[in-house]
Amino acid sequence: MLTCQEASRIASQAQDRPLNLKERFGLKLHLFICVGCQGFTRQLQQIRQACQRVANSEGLSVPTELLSATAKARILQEIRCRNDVGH
Amino acid sequence: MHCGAQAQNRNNEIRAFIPPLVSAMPSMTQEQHKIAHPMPKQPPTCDAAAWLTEHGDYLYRFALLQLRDEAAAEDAVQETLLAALSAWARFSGQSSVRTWLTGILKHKILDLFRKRAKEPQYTPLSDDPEAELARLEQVLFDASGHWIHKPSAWNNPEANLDQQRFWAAFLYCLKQLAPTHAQAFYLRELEGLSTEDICKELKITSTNCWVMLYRARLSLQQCLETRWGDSHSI
Repeated sequence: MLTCQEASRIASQAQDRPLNLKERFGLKLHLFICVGCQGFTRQLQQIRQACQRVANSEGLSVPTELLSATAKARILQEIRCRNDVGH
Repeated sequence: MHCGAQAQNRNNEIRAFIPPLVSAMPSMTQEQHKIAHPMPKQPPTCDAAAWLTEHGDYLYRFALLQLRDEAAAEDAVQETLLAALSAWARFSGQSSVRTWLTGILKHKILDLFRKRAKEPQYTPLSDDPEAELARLEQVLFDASGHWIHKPSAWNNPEANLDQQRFWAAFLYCLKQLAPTHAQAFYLRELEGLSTEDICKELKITSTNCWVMLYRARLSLQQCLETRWGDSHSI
């Protein structure tokens, strides 16, 4: 029977690769009886979903950091220079 | 902003499909005509200044999150817009402009990660990553391998204010990750790379990789438990 420590390692790896038979059954069995690890695997899923939302712009719509006006002006200027040089 | 002759021809083709304003139907008022023949949605235009205004802040935040350096993030946005100008002719319009620009930005960030992988602060600190992991686990699990504090799944934030608080907590926790773990984690979860590709890019072993990802997840989990979980657990 897996310990929580062993089960948590496997639960994390399950997010990146297919588990072998022993790992899969070991984890399933442990999750069947361990509320703490049920919570942990659920949290791993929640973390992954949150990351997907960040990558899809949902999590970054709150204006925490903004490109400063100076930075924007500098970027535009640089783009104009490099674009014109090419033609 | 020059977008190349190809793009210009494409714009002309699009204009040809927009029906001219009808002047030969005196019985219909202008308003009635607008309702009967709604103007087609404006096609996205190739305009770096407009992109910067509309998407610049978002692209900057996405880059800053992963690169953790304001100058590097500003450069990444700049290079993204430049690349977008060159690639405009190939933009199919299937996705939104923001999604398309984000795709280009992800490539730029990956390039930067590749370069950084050679720098000392991003190379794995130890030859025995599992030993380091064991040290972290000692804080979380007791001698029999049980959780010291049982994790409990978090409530999904629903109310708008709750959502803002959640994202603030989540982004804060992401920024707390140590650089080596953060890099592997971002490549996996934000850039969508497979672990195989991460190992290749960062020139690390697969053991290093799974340990880094696991440590990142544990750190996030612990951080979120503190900042979000205590009042929002099921």
